[in-house]
Formats: sequence, C-alpha cells, structure tokens
Amino acid sequence: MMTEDATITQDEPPRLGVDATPAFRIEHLSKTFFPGSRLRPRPPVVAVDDVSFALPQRSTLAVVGESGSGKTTVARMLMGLEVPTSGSIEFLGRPLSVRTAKDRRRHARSIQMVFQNPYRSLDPRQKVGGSLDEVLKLHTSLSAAERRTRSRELFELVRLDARLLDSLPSNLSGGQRQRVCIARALACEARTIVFDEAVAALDVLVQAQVLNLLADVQAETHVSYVFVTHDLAVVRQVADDLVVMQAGRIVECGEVSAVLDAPQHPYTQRLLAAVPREGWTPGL
Amino acid sequence: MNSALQVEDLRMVMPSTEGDLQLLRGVSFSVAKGEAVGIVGESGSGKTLTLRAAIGLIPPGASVTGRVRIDGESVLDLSGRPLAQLRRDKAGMVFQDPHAAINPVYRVADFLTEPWRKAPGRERAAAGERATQLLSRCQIADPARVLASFPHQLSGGMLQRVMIAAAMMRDPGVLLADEPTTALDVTTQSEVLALMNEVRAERGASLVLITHDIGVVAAICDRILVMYRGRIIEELTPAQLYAGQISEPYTEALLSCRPDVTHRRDRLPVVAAGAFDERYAD
Amino acid sequence: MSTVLPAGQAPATLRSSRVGLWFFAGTSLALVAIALLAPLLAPHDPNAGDVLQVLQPPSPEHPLGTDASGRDLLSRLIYGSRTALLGPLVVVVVATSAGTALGILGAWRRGWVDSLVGRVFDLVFSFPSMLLALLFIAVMSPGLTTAALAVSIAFVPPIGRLVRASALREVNEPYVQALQTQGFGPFYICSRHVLPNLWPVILAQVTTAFGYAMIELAGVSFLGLGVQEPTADWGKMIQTGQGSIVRGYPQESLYAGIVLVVAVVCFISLGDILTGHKNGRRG
Repeated sequence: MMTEDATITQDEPPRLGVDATPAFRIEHLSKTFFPGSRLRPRPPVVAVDDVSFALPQRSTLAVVGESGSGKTTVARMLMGLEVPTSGSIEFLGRPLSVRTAKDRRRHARSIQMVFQNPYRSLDPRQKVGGSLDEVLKLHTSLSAAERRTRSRELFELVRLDARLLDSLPSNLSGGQRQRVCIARALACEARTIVFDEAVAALDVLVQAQVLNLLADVQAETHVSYVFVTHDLAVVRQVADDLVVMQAGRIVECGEVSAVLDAPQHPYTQRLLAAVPREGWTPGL
Repeated sequence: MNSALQVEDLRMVMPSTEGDLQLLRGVSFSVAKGEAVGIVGESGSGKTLTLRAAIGLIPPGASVTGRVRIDGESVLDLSGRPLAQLRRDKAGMVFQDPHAAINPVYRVADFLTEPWRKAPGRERAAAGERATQLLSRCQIADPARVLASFPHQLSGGMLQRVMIAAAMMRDPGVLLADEPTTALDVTTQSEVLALMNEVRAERGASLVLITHDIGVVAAICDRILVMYRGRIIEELTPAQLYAGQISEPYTEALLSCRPDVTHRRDRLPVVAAGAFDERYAD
Repeated sequence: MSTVLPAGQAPATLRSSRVGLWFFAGTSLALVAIALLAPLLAPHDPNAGDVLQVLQPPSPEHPLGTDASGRDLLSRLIYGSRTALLGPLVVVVVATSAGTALGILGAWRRGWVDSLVGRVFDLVFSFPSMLLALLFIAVMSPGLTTAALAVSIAFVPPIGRLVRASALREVNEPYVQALQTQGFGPFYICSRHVLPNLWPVILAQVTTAFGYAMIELAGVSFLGLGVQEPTADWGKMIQTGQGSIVRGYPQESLYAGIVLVVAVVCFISLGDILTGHKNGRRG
C-alpha cells in the first residue's frame, strides 16, 4: 500500500507517497518568516523549504528533526496556525482553508494537536470536564446530558477516572493533563492528531503509559497520528513511517524500520549515533 | 578527606497546609575525587533538591538536617560570604536552562569574569585569558566572538558550553550538573556530555550529574544512584545495570519502560502509579 | 521535571501585609458604608444654610461647626462621600471596560490594529486629565458627569496598556492556540477564556485606579469644572473653604482635605496590596 522511498535524488527532495487517499497530503510546502520591520529590516528566515509528504489513513508518521529543522512550523501549518508561503495542503482530497469560523470548525474535525507542555495546554481556570464539554458543544448537537455521557466515555478511552471531570488542571499531574488533552483532541472526532513533542516533558514511566494508551486508542478509533519529535526511540516504538528534516528540508524518509536499521543520509546517521544506549559513549 | 563531596543523612521537611512534606528522607552518599556519580529519578524524587542543598540552596520555608561536606568543608553551616566563596571556588554548577541561568543583560565575557570584577587589573586580565582558554577547550571555535556576544545571540548548546567553562573557571573540585542536557538536541547533548567528561578528566574534578534519563548516566558515570520520593533506593554501576544485576523493581522499571531505538515492542511494560509507594514507604 | 512546591507555602512578607490588607479594606468599606447610609448618618440637611449660624465653631448641634453659608460641616462631609465615591466609580467602570476591550483587541490582533490602539493610547495619555476636562466643559456644561467622562477617557490608556501586556502573555499560551485549532472564534476565546484569566490583574488595578480617580475628580471640582454648587463634595469644599481661611476659619478646607487624603490613601494602598497579593500567587 505504501511506496518506499529512502533514497535521495539530486533534483528533487525525497517524497513519501501513498496510493489510497491519504489523511492529508502536503506538496512543495514552504514557509519564510520576515522578522524585521520597515525601520529595522532583517534577513528573512526560510523555516520550511519545499517539503512534501502524505499521511496514510490509520497510520502513524513521525516528523523527526532537531531545533531549527522546521518540523514544528510544518505542524503549525497543518493546523492552520501559520499560513504557508507557497505549496499546498490537502485533507482527504480537500484543500486546507481556515479563512472563516465555519472553515476552522470543519478543519478541527480533520486534525487536532496535543502540545508539548501539559502545564500550559489547559485553561487554568476551567474544570477539565468543561473543556471537553465546550468542544462537544461546538461540534455536536448533543444535549447537556448527552455531552456529559460522551465526556465520560472519552475519559474512559484515555483511562482517566470520571470523577476527575470536575477537577481543575492544577489538581492533575502532568501525565493526567496530557491525557485530558488527548481526550479533548478525540472529542472533535478528528481523523488525525498531531503530537508536538507531546511526551517529551513526561516522566519515563508516565511516558510509557501514554504511548501504550495511544496505541490502544488508535486500534479502537482508527485515527492517524503525526509525531513531531527528536526522540528516535519514541519514533521506533510508535511510528510506521518517518520523515527526517534538517534546516527546513527533508533529507530522508521511508518506513521506520528501513530508515533506522540502515540510514542513508549522514544527518540521520548522526542522529542515530547520538542516542544513548548500552555501550554508547558520547562523542564530539 | 578523600571525598570531594559527602552527603550524610540529609533530610528536608517543608511545612504546608496539608501537614509536613518529607522532601528528602535521609539521603547519604559520597563522591570520591575524580569520580562521576549520576543521580537518576522522576519528578518528586528529590534529586534536584539534593543537588541544590549540596551548595546551600534551600527552598524558603524548608528545614534541613544532616551534613554536606565539599572538600571537607561543611556547607550547611556556612552562609553569606564564606558560602559564596565555597560556591565559587569549590563547586561549579551547570543548570538545565542556560538562557534562564545567565543574566541576559551582560556579555558572555562579563559573565565569565564576574568574580574578578573588583580585582586589580592584572588579575582581571589573567581571568579574561583563562576564559578564552577554557572556551577553546570547550570546543568553541571562535572564543573572541563568543566572549563579545550576549546570551540571546548564542544557541542553547553554545551557551551550555559557556556555562561549563564558567563552572570550571576557578578549577573547582566538584562539578554539579542539574539536567544539563535535557533542553538540548540529541546531537548537542552528545557533544556536551563528552565535553563534561573531558573537562573533568583533565582537571581531575568530580562530577555529580542529575537527570531523568538513565541511558545518559549509564554512559558517562562510574556509579548510578536511583532516587524515589526523597530516598536513594539503589546504587549500582552501569555494567551492573545493563547486565541485569538490578535489585529494585523501580530501577528495573526505569530501564525497561523506555522505548528502545533498536527495536519496537508490542507494548511497553508499564507499572501503575503508586505501585512502588508501599515498597518505599517510611 | 521539577517538583512543584505546595501552594500552602506563603512567604513571610505576605503575612505582614495581611494586617495592612484588612486595615485598608476595612476603612475603604467603611467609607462606602458612610456614602450609602448618608441620609441616616447626617444630622442635618447638607444644603440647608442658616445665615445666623455662619462659621460657627464645633458645638453639640454642629459637631464640626458650619461653613460660610451656615451649612453643617459634618453633614456636608458625610454627603460629600457620595460624590467622592460615585465619580470614581463611573470612571473606573467606563475606563476599565474601554481599556480592557482595547487592550485585548490589540493583543489579539497584533499588527496594525495593535499599533493603532497603541498610538491612540499615547495620544490620550499625553493630555493631562485637567486639560481634557476643560475641553469637555467647553463643549458641555460643567458638572460631575462631564468631569467623570473626561477623567474616564484619561484613564483608559494606563489600564489599556496593562491589560494589553497581560493579554499578550495569555494569548501566546498553548491553551489559547488549542482553542483556536478547535474552531472557536476569537470573541469566544477572548471573553470566555482570556478575560477570566486576566481578572486578578484587572481587579487589583481597578482599586488603585479608584483612588487616583478620586483625587483627579477632586482636583477638577476644586477648579470649579466638576461638581457645582450647592452639591456637597470634598474637592469643592476645599475650594469654597478657601475664602474662609483668610478670615481665620480653616475648618471647611481642612476637614475636607483630611478626609480626601485618607480616602485616597486607603484605596490606593488597598490596590497596591492586592496587586502584590496576586503577583505572589501567580504561576
């Protein structure tokens, strides 16, 4: 179902292709930032340069890179939080548009995001059940009682005690807050969820639980995932395919096992060589 | 005194509206000269509090008992000037977020030579030269440019190297590092860890490294201390760790719950929260 | 990865300002009570003048004496609290509403909208409130309403700037971005999520602004541009009492001045303590 392409051609950047309709497809996506002002002009920053890939439905794609790679900017463009300078983004065959409020609402059902910092991703003054409730109110026509039931179901899906629905975020741990954010992303019934370094800030044991949970949720709801991360161990554990970005460009892509067992590009090799493991010594 | 750092029965209690919180419950360990010791644990384990207590940084309102000795001197008995001198001369600190730990208003050169600000010109010049030398030892290609820069003009990795240089300026006997590479990219992390190894091997300084990543401590430390809820529950060497000679289930969990970059598993082994509380209760 | 210290941990400085908090809060509330219960507390009609009782010293009938028109000073001071508190109340309500709305608008939209709002703030801020009051009087008739309106507009920039600064921080938090990606509109997000998180900051400033508005309005009335005769008002009383001072009777100006200073200090101090209080709790 998936064409493998782990080699780099001279003329165009590597691409990840799919046969069936992908959850989303981006083509020749670029983003340039112009940080200066008229009084103090500064050189433009090319954050993303001609990036193309597609996410097959019901699978997990990892976008790997270090700081400055452009991976977060790509994620933000997918969410409609940044406007691309050039290139196209299509969701289930339809071009991305967030011009009107209605478009935004529709887009929310295509893709949702779980952010990195669980301590700042929830309104500190709102009960966590309330954040689920308002999302359900926006996207569905369920009655208050039905929304309550659905909130309970969502909490069950992420293995949270329903009693926590009435808690404030400050009463929950980082792992629990992240699960609330996952439940909130699922409440929109989005086809795709983007995890922007979403497990990086969690303790080791909690991270393992959340990763297992995500696998279970995917099995139950057939949602697709995009993992934006620099942690190759997490990539190996959760992703089917990956895309490696450096300085705004894709340098390598393909199936996870293929790329991580035999990386072709020197940057990918360097990334792999830097992962601590048995027998490893840090190198300069 | 053979040990660079000695911690004896360190206890920290913080009063709160819900009764007294036992933050540290009798932490004891020592670090020999030239040895690298890693302290590993999750949030709430007390690893950062231990390190900070070692140089007398006690959170306001907390009460501390026990002894901490750096190069024979008792830290908890000191305050004011003598404490400041100890912190400058005997112990070098490297923090997690270099951008937060360095005053953004001053240039790097001023940051490195701050202790010599009031010293006579000759000493200041000598300090400046030492700073340049240390920066080049820290793998910085153009020390002059870095010295003239402000912190915000440098990347996290570069600034962390500056922090290490600053920590080594007075040639301390022990280097204390609190999650020094957590905020860095993985390739930069590798470089910074190698640098810390090299720098201290050269000067014969000891290292106490705090992190949540057991893979990191196993790579550069001679001994690993595992902390849980304010206590050291196990001490072992990296060899023992990877050979499976682990006595505590918590340590085992820390090691096996991590995703493995070499292969994927069906499910990661998990333990419920609080599964260890009973075992490690008072 | 850091341990969060428990919320019950309050540093020592807060406790010492607790006493101050209760003192100033108590006095401020007492002033409000006096204003509300004025008809019950005042022994005489504040506007009833007795020509035979002009400039009398304190007596059982007139505990604080009388003014140049024979009116009871105590009653006038008591009734004066009404205008003294009503004016600032109007100022605070109008300035906070407008300032908050503009501040959040600028913080949310950024770009040219933010610049425009900022320039408007700068322009208004450059006018002393007295000058604005004069401008308004020229167009409308003098009185408490006109004065309050003028001072309100003068107070919009400082409140607006503060709200904008806090709103900028809130708007950049991940939870706001999360709400945006869920498809909620900007008005919904700002009113239901951003504003409630700004409340503590706004409220603390409101109390301080109340005190400053009080003194601004008193000044405007002193100049004759605000409250007009025969209404009792502290600022006005300081002015009308000027004539009596040279005749050897400083009571009217003196008492009115003292009460004004006490009231202003109370509200401003209360506001300062509340601001410090909230800053300590944040995060």
